[in-house]
Amino acid sequence: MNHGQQSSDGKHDDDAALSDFLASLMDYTPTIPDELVEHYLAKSGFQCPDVRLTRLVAVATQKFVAEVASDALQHCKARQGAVVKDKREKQQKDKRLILTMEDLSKALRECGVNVKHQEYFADSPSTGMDPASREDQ
Amino acid sequence: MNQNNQSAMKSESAKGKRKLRNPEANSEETTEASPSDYSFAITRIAVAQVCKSMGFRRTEQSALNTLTVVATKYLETLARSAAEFSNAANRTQSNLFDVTNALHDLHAVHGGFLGASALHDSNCLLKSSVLKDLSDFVYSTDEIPFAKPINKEKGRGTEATTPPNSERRPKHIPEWLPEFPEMVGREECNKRVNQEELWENTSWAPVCEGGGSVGGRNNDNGGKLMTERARVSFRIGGGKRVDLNGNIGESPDRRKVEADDDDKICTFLQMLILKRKKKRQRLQKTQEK
Repeated sequence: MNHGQQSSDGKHDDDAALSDFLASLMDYTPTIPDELVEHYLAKSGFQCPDVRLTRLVAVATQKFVAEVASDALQHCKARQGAVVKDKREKQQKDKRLILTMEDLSKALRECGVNVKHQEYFADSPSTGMDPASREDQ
Repeated sequence: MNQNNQSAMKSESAKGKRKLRNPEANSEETTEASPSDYSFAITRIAVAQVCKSMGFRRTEQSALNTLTVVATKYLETLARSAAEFSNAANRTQSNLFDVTNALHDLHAVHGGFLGASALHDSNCLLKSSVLKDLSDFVYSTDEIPFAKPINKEKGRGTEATTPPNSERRPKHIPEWLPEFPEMVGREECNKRVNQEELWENTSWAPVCEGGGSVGGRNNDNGGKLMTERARVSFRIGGGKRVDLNGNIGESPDRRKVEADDDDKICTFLQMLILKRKKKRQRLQKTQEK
Protein backbone atom coordinates (compact mmCIF):
# COMPACT_ATOMS: atom_id res chain seq x y z
CA MET A 1 0.00 0.00 0.00
CA ASN A 2 2.62 2.42 1.13
CA HIS A 3 4.81 1.64 -1.83
CA GLY A 4 1.87 2.04 -4.19
CA GLN A 5 1.07 5.43 -2.77
CA GLN A 6 4.64 6.52 -3.16
CA SER A 7 4.75 5.44 -6.75
CA SER A 8 1.46 7.18 -7.47
CA ASP A 9 2.83 10.31 -5.84
CA GLY A 10 5.89 9.98 -7.99
CA LYS A 11 3.69 9.65 -11.02
CA HIS A 12 1.79 12.75 -9.99
CA ASP A 13 5.03 14.62 -9.58
CA ASP A 14 6.20 13.44 -12.95
CA ASP A 15 2.94 14.43 -14.55
CA ALA A 16 3.02 17.83 -12.89
CA ALA A 17 6.61 18.39 -13.98
CA LEU A 18 5.79 17.27 -17.49
CA SER A 19 2.74 19.49 -17.76
CA ASP A 20 4.78 22.37 -16.38
CA PHE A 21 7.43 21.71 -18.97
CA LEU A 22 4.88 21.59 -21.77
CA ALA A 23 3.25 24.77 -20.50
CA SER A 24 6.62 26.49 -20.36
CA LEU A 25 7.16 25.57 -24.00
CA MET A 26 4.32 27.93 -24.89
CA ASP A 27 6.38 30.87 -23.68
CA TYR A 28 9.77 29.58 -24.75
CA THR A 29 10.88 30.52 -28.23
CA PRO A 30 13.50 28.11 -29.54
CA THR A 31 16.27 29.39 -31.75
CA ILE A 32 14.97 27.28 -34.61
CA PRO A 33 11.86 29.19 -35.69
CA ASP A 34 8.47 27.51 -35.65
CA GLU A 35 7.86 28.01 -39.34
CA LEU A 36 11.03 26.16 -40.25
CA VAL A 37 10.24 23.25 -37.94
CA GLU A 38 6.72 23.04 -39.31
CA HIS A 39 8.12 22.98 -42.82
CA TYR A 40 10.38 20.05 -42.06
CA LEU A 41 7.69 18.28 -40.05
CA ALA A 42 5.20 18.56 -42.87
CA LYS A 43 7.88 17.41 -45.29
CA SER A 44 8.38 14.19 -43.36
CA GLY A 45 4.71 13.44 -42.76
CA PHE A 46 4.26 14.67 -39.23
CA GLN A 47 0.85 16.17 -38.56
CA CYS A 48 0.03 17.90 -35.33
CA PRO A 49 -1.84 21.12 -34.68
CA ASP A 50 -0.23 21.55 -31.26
CA VAL A 51 2.41 24.29 -31.13
CA ARG A 52 3.96 22.74 -28.05
CA LEU A 53 4.95 19.60 -29.91
CA THR A 54 6.61 21.55 -32.71
CA ARG A 55 8.45 23.50 -30.05
CA LEU A 56 9.41 20.26 -28.35
CA VAL A 57 10.91 18.99 -31.59
CA ALA A 58 12.65 22.34 -32.07
CA VAL A 59 14.06 22.19 -28.55
CA ALA A 60 15.26 18.62 -29.07
CA THR A 61 17.04 19.64 -32.26
CA GLN A 62 18.50 22.70 -30.60
CA LYS A 63 19.75 20.58 -27.73
CA PHE A 64 21.35 18.17 -30.18
CA VAL A 65 23.11 20.99 -32.01
CA ALA A 66 24.20 22.55 -28.75
CA GLU A 67 25.64 19.25 -27.52
CA VAL A 68 27.55 18.71 -30.74
CA ALA A 69 28.79 22.30 -30.66
CA SER A 70 29.93 22.04 -27.05
CA ASP A 71 31.73 18.80 -27.84
CA ALA A 72 33.45 20.48 -30.74
CA LEU A 73 34.31 23.40 -28.48
CA GLN A 74 35.94 21.07 -25.98
CA HIS A 75 37.96 19.47 -28.78
CA CYS A 76 38.97 22.90 -30.01
CA LYS A 77 40.07 24.05 -26.58
CA ALA A 78 42.00 20.86 -25.99
CA ARG A 79 43.80 21.23 -29.30
CA GLN A 80 44.64 24.85 -28.61
CA GLY A 81 45.84 23.95 -25.14
CA ALA A 82 48.29 21.55 -26.74
CA VAL A 83 49.45 24.34 -29.04
CA VAL A 84 49.89 26.75 -26.16
CA LYS A 85 52.36 24.42 -24.52
CA ASP A 86 54.53 24.66 -27.58
CA LYS A 87 54.38 28.31 -28.47
CA ARG A 88 53.19 29.82 -25.22
CA GLU A 89 52.08 33.39 -24.75
CA LYS A 90 51.73 34.62 -28.26
CA GLN A 91 49.11 32.03 -28.99
CA GLN A 92 47.36 32.53 -25.70
CA LYS A 93 46.58 36.16 -26.40
CA ASP A 94 44.69 35.69 -29.61
CA LYS A 95 43.16 32.43 -28.66
CA ARG A 96 40.36 32.16 -31.12
CA LEU A 97 37.52 29.73 -30.98
CA ILE A 98 36.78 28.56 -34.49
CA LEU A 99 34.46 25.75 -35.46
CA THR A 100 36.56 23.59 -37.75
CA MET A 101 35.78 20.44 -39.64
CA GLU A 102 38.38 18.60 -37.61
CA ASP A 103 36.68 19.26 -34.28
CA LEU A 104 33.22 18.88 -35.72
CA SER A 105 33.95 15.48 -37.22
CA LYS A 106 35.32 14.31 -33.87
CA ALA A 107 32.24 15.59 -32.08
CA LEU A 108 29.88 14.07 -34.63
CA ARG A 109 31.62 10.73 -34.48
CA GLU A 110 30.42 10.41 -30.90
CA CYS A 111 26.85 10.77 -32.16
CA GLY A 112 27.35 8.07 -34.72
CA VAL A 113 27.81 10.38 -37.68
CA ASN A 114 30.88 9.73 -39.75
CA VAL A 115 31.98 12.88 -41.52
CA LYS A 116 34.61 12.53 -44.15
CA HIS A 117 36.24 15.61 -45.50
CA GLN A 118 39.27 16.41 -47.52
CA GLU A 119 42.07 16.84 -45.09
CA TYR A 120 44.27 19.21 -46.94
CA PHE A 121 43.72 22.04 -49.39
CA ALA A 122 46.74 23.53 -51.08
CA ASP A 123 45.10 26.41 -52.88
CA SER A 124 46.76 29.11 -50.77
CA PRO A 125 50.02 29.24 -48.81
CA SER A 126 48.31 29.73 -45.46
CA THR A 127 46.04 26.72 -45.84
CA GLY A 128 48.20 24.16 -44.18
CA MET A 129 48.78 26.21 -41.06
CA ASP A 130 46.85 26.21 -37.88
CA PRO A 131 43.64 28.28 -38.10
CA ALA A 132 44.57 30.20 -34.97
CA SER A 133 47.88 31.33 -36.40
CA ARG A 134 46.49 31.93 -39.87
CA GLU A 135 45.02 35.29 -38.93
CA ASP A 136 48.40 36.75 -38.03
CA GLN A 137 49.78 36.63 -41.52
CA MET B 1 53.88 20.89 -85.85
CA ASN B 2 55.37 22.61 -82.89
CA GLN B 3 52.70 25.20 -82.92
CA ASN B 4 50.09 22.53 -83.24
CA ASN B 5 51.58 20.65 -80.35
CA GLN B 6 51.73 23.77 -78.28
CA SER B 7 48.15 24.62 -79.05
CA ALA B 8 47.20 21.04 -78.25
CA MET B 9 49.09 21.33 -74.98
CA LYS B 10 47.35 24.56 -74.20
CA SER B 11 43.97 23.10 -74.90
CA GLU B 12 44.82 20.10 -72.77
CA SER B 13 45.99 22.29 -69.96
CA ALA B 14 42.83 24.35 -70.33
CA LYS B 15 40.80 21.18 -70.16
CA GLY B 16 42.75 20.15 -67.12
CA LYS B 17 41.97 23.45 -65.47
CA ARG B 18 38.34 23.07 -66.33
CA LYS B 19 38.35 19.60 -64.92
CA LEU B 20 39.95 20.93 -61.79
CA ARG B 21 37.50 23.78 -61.53
CA ASN B 22 34.40 21.82 -62.29
CA PRO B 23 34.41 19.53 -59.26
CA GLU B 24 34.80 22.54 -56.99
CA ALA B 25 31.88 24.26 -58.65
CA ASN B 26 29.82 21.11 -58.37
CA SER B 27 30.65 20.66 -54.73
CA GLU B 28 29.68 24.28 -54.06
CA GLU B 29 26.42 23.75 -55.87
CA THR B 30 25.61 20.60 -53.98
CA THR B 31 26.42 22.10 -50.62
CA GLU B 32 25.03 25.60 -51.00
CA ALA B 33 22.37 25.42 -53.70
CA SER B 34 20.62 22.38 -52.34
CA PRO B 35 17.00 21.82 -53.40
CA SER B 36 15.53 23.47 -50.33
CA ASP B 37 17.86 26.40 -50.47
CA TYR B 38 15.78 28.82 -48.48
CA SER B 39 15.07 26.51 -45.57
CA PHE B 40 18.71 25.48 -45.56
CA ALA B 41 19.79 29.11 -45.27
CA ILE B 42 17.41 29.67 -42.36
CA THR B 43 18.59 26.53 -40.58
CA ARG B 44 22.15 27.64 -41.10
CA ILE B 45 21.48 30.93 -39.37
CA ALA B 46 19.82 29.15 -36.45
CA VAL B 47 22.67 26.65 -36.13
CA ALA B 48 25.19 29.48 -36.28
CA GLN B 49 23.33 31.22 -33.47
CA VAL B 50 23.44 28.09 -31.33
CA CYS B 51 27.17 27.68 -32.02
CA LYS B 52 27.75 31.30 -31.06
CA SER B 53 25.85 30.84 -27.84
CA MET B 54 28.06 27.85 -27.02
CA GLY B 55 31.14 30.04 -27.28
CA PHE B 56 32.41 29.82 -30.83
CA ARG B 57 33.47 33.09 -32.41
CA ARG B 58 34.11 31.96 -35.95
CA THR B 59 33.42 29.01 -38.12
CA GLU B 60 34.54 27.34 -41.28
CA GLN B 61 31.93 27.42 -44.00
CA SER B 62 32.12 23.69 -44.60
CA ALA B 63 31.86 22.89 -40.90
CA LEU B 64 28.77 25.07 -40.47
CA ASN B 65 27.19 23.54 -43.58
CA THR B 66 27.89 20.04 -42.31
CA LEU B 67 26.44 20.76 -38.91
CA THR B 68 23.38 22.30 -40.54
CA VAL B 69 22.85 19.25 -42.71
CA VAL B 70 23.22 16.95 -39.71
CA ALA B 71 20.77 19.03 -37.67
CA THR B 72 18.27 18.94 -40.52
CA LYS B 73 18.66 15.18 -40.80
CA TYR B 74 18.15 14.86 -37.04
CA LEU B 75 14.93 16.89 -37.19
CA GLU B 76 13.60 15.00 -40.17
CA THR B 77 14.47 11.63 -38.69
CA LEU B 78 12.73 12.59 -35.47
CA ALA B 79 9.64 13.74 -37.31
CA ARG B 80 9.53 10.70 -39.57
CA SER B 81 9.93 8.33 -36.66
CA ALA B 82 7.18 10.06 -34.70
CA ALA B 83 4.89 9.94 -37.74
CA GLU B 84 5.61 6.23 -38.11
CA PHE B 85 4.72 5.63 -34.48
CA SER B 86 1.44 7.47 -34.88
CA ASN B 87 0.66 5.61 -38.09
CA ALA B 88 1.35 2.30 -36.37
CA ALA B 89 -1.25 3.27 -33.78
CA ASN B 90 -3.83 3.97 -36.50
CA ARG B 91 -3.61 7.69 -36.15
CA THR B 92 -2.72 10.39 -38.60
CA GLN B 93 -2.01 13.08 -36.05
CA SER B 94 0.99 12.60 -33.80
CA ASN B 95 0.95 13.28 -30.11
CA LEU B 96 3.40 13.63 -27.26
CA PHE B 97 3.89 9.89 -26.86
CA ASP B 98 4.92 9.48 -30.49
CA VAL B 99 7.47 12.24 -30.17
CA THR B 100 8.73 10.72 -26.93
CA ASN B 101 9.09 7.31 -28.53
CA ALA B 102 10.95 8.85 -31.44
CA LEU B 103 13.25 10.70 -29.07
CA HIS B 104 13.92 7.45 -27.20
CA ASP B 105 14.85 5.71 -30.42
CA LEU B 106 17.19 8.47 -31.48
CA HIS B 107 18.88 8.71 -28.10
CA ALA B 108 19.22 4.96 -27.87
CA VAL B 109 21.33 5.15 -31.02
CA HIS B 110 23.46 7.90 -29.57
CA GLY B 111 24.54 5.87 -26.61
CA GLY B 112 21.57 5.39 -24.36
CA PHE B 113 19.87 7.37 -21.64
CA LEU B 114 18.84 7.01 -18.04
CA GLY B 115 15.78 4.85 -17.44
CA ALA B 116 15.95 3.10 -20.79
CA SER B 117 15.99 -0.33 -19.21
CA ALA B 118 12.85 0.27 -17.15
CA LEU B 119 11.08 1.94 -20.01
CA HIS B 120 8.92 -0.97 -21.09
CA ASP B 121 8.39 -2.45 -17.63
CA SER B 122 6.47 0.52 -16.37
CA ASN B 123 3.74 1.83 -18.57
CA CYS B 124 4.81 5.40 -18.11
CA LEU B 125 6.79 6.45 -21.15
CA LEU B 126 7.37 9.89 -19.83
CA LYS B 127 9.49 8.81 -16.89
CA SER B 128 12.68 8.48 -18.89
CA SER B 129 15.45 11.00 -18.62
CA VAL B 130 15.12 12.27 -22.17
CA LEU B 131 12.23 14.60 -21.48
CA LYS B 132 13.77 15.60 -18.17
CA ASP B 133 16.99 16.47 -19.95
CA LEU B 134 15.01 18.52 -22.42
CA SER B 135 13.19 20.38 -19.67
CA ASP B 136 16.49 20.98 -17.89
CA PHE B 137 17.88 22.29 -21.14
CA VAL B 138 14.92 24.64 -21.53
CA TYR B 139 15.23 25.91 -17.97
CA SER B 140 19.01 26.26 -18.03
CA THR B 141 19.61 27.92 -21.38
CA ASP B 142 18.54 31.40 -22.23
CA GLU B 143 16.18 32.05 -25.03
CA ILE B 144 17.92 33.03 -28.23
CA PRO B 145 15.23 34.20 -30.59
CA PHE B 146 15.89 33.79 -34.29
CA ALA B 147 17.94 36.69 -35.57
CA LYS B 148 16.22 37.57 -38.80
CA PRO B 149 12.61 38.00 -39.87
CA ILE B 150 11.35 35.19 -42.05
CA ASN B 151 9.96 36.31 -45.34
CA LYS B 152 7.15 33.92 -46.05
CA GLU B 153 6.22 35.18 -49.48
CA LYS B 154 9.72 34.87 -50.81
CA GLY B 155 10.23 31.36 -49.55
CA ARG B 156 6.86 29.88 -50.26
CA GLY B 157 6.07 31.44 -53.57
CA THR B 158 3.75 28.64 -54.63
CA GLU B 159 2.02 28.34 -51.29
CA ALA B 160 1.44 32.04 -50.90
CA THR B 161 -1.09 32.05 -53.72
CA THR B 162 -3.21 29.25 -52.27
CA PRO B 163 -4.74 30.92 -49.16
CA PRO B 164 -6.93 33.44 -51.04
CA ASN B 165 -8.21 30.59 -53.23
CA SER B 166 -8.99 28.45 -50.22
CA GLU B 167 -10.83 31.41 -48.72
CA ARG B 168 -12.95 31.73 -51.82
CA ARG B 169 -13.70 28.11 -52.51
CA PRO B 170 -16.05 26.07 -50.34
CA LYS B 171 -14.64 23.80 -47.69
CA HIS B 172 -15.46 20.44 -49.23
CA ILE B 173 -13.07 21.01 -52.13
CA PRO B 174 -9.57 19.84 -51.23
CA GLU B 175 -6.74 22.34 -51.30
CA TRP B 176 -4.62 20.59 -53.89
CA LEU B 177 -7.17 21.02 -56.63
CA PRO B 178 -6.45 23.82 -59.06
CA GLU B 179 -8.32 27.04 -58.91
CA PHE B 180 -11.73 27.35 -60.46
CA PRO B 181 -12.22 29.70 -63.35
CA GLU B 182 -13.34 33.03 -62.03
CA MET B 183 -16.75 32.96 -60.42
CA VAL B 184 -17.16 36.70 -60.16
CA GLY B 185 -18.85 37.32 -63.50
CA ARG B 186 -21.40 34.56 -63.03
CA GLU B 187 -22.31 35.76 -59.56
CA GLU B 188 -22.87 39.25 -60.85
CA CYS B 189 -25.01 37.86 -63.63
CA ASN B 190 -27.13 35.92 -61.18
CA LYS B 191 -27.54 38.88 -58.96
CA ARG B 192 -28.48 41.07 -61.85
CA VAL B 193 -31.08 38.60 -63.03
CA ASN B 194 -32.43 38.25 -59.53
CA GLN B 195 -32.58 41.94 -59.10
CA GLU B 196 -34.46 42.39 -62.29
CA GLU B 197 -37.02 39.94 -61.09
CA LEU B 198 -37.22 41.79 -57.86
CA TRP B 199 -37.43 44.98 -59.77
CA GLU B 200 -40.45 43.80 -61.65
CA ASN B 201 -42.15 41.74 -58.99
CA THR B 202 -41.74 43.95 -56.02
CA SER B 203 -43.84 47.03 -55.94
CA TRP B 204 -41.30 49.57 -54.95
CA ALA B 205 -41.98 51.61 -58.05
CA PRO B 206 -44.89 53.46 -56.39
CA VAL B 207 -42.65 53.96 -53.37
CA CYS B 208 -40.17 55.63 -55.61
CA GLU B 209 -42.85 57.86 -57.04
CA GLY B 210 -43.10 59.94 -53.93
CA GLY B 211 -39.55 61.19 -54.19
CA GLY B 212 -37.28 58.21 -54.57
CA SER B 213 -33.73 59.40 -54.64
CA VAL B 214 -30.70 57.25 -55.18
CA GLY B 215 -30.24 56.90 -51.45
CA GLY B 216 -33.74 55.55 -51.10
CA ARG B 217 -33.00 52.89 -53.68
CA ASN B 218 -29.87 51.88 -51.92
CA ASN B 219 -31.73 51.42 -48.70
CA ASP B 220 -34.36 49.31 -50.39
CA ASN B 221 -31.76 46.98 -51.90
CA GLY B 222 -29.84 46.63 -48.71
CA GLY B 223 -27.08 48.90 -49.89
CA LYS B 224 -25.58 46.39 -52.31
CA LEU B 225 -24.63 46.58 -55.91
CA MET B 226 -26.02 50.01 -56.76
CA THR B 227 -22.56 51.29 -57.47
CA GLU B 228 -21.65 48.30 -59.60
CA ARG B 229 -24.80 48.18 -61.66
CA ALA B 230 -24.58 49.77 -65.04
CA ARG B 231 -28.19 49.26 -65.90
CA VAL B 232 -30.60 51.88 -64.71
CA SER B 233 -34.31 51.96 -65.24
CA PHE B 234 -36.67 54.75 -64.54
CA ARG B 235 -40.09 55.86 -65.52
CA ILE B 236 -41.37 58.65 -67.53
CA GLY B 237 -44.74 60.03 -66.97
CA GLY B 238 -46.22 60.00 -70.47
CA GLY B 239 -43.34 61.96 -71.88
CA LYS B 240 -44.47 65.04 -70.00
CA ARG B 241 -42.36 65.76 -66.93
CA VAL B 242 -39.37 64.01 -65.50
CA ASP B 243 -37.06 65.44 -62.89
CA LEU B 244 -33.66 64.10 -62.18
CA ASN B 245 -34.85 63.20 -58.71
CA GLY B 246 -37.39 60.86 -60.15
CA ASN B 247 -40.40 63.06 -59.59
CA ILE B 248 -42.75 62.10 -62.30
CA GLY B 249 -45.56 64.12 -63.61
CA GLU B 250 -48.94 62.51 -63.06
CA SER B 251 -50.29 60.87 -66.12
CA PRO B 252 -52.31 57.70 -66.72
CA ASP B 253 -49.99 56.03 -69.16
CA ARG B 254 -46.47 55.46 -67.97
CA ARG B 255 -43.68 54.05 -69.87
CA LYS B 256 -40.85 52.16 -68.32
CA VAL B 257 -37.62 52.70 -70.03
CA GLU B 258 -34.40 50.96 -69.38
CA ALA B 259 -31.17 52.34 -70.59
CA ASP B 260 -28.17 50.12 -70.49
CA ASP B 261 -25.48 52.71 -70.68
CA ASP B 262 -24.88 56.05 -69.18
CA ASP B 263 -24.56 57.52 -72.63
CA LYS B 264 -28.06 56.43 -73.45
CA ILE B 265 -29.31 57.99 -70.26
CA CYS B 266 -27.55 61.19 -71.10
CA THR B 267 -29.00 61.35 -74.58
CA PHE B 268 -32.37 60.51 -73.15
CA LEU B 269 -32.15 63.25 -70.58
CA GLN B 270 -31.04 65.65 -73.24
CA MET B 271 -34.07 64.68 -75.30
CA LEU B 272 -36.29 65.23 -72.29
CA ILE B 273 -34.78 68.61 -71.61
CA LEU B 274 -35.33 69.58 -75.22
CA LYS B 275 -38.94 68.42 -75.01
CA ARG B 276 -39.45 70.40 -71.81
CA LYS B 277 -38.01 73.51 -73.42
CA LYS B 278 -40.39 73.10 -76.37
CA LYS B 279 -43.28 72.65 -73.94
CA ARG B 280 -42.36 75.81 -72.09
CA GLN B 281 -42.12 77.68 -75.35
CA ARG B 282 -45.56 76.40 -76.31
CA LEU B 283 -46.96 77.37 -72.91
CA GLN B 284 -45.41 80.83 -73.20
CA LYS B 285 -46.88 81.19 -76.67
CA THR B 286 -50.31 80.16 -75.45
CA GLN B 287 -50.04 82.55 -72.51
CA GLU B 288 -48.97 85.34 -74.84
CA LYS B 289 -51.91 84.60 -77.06
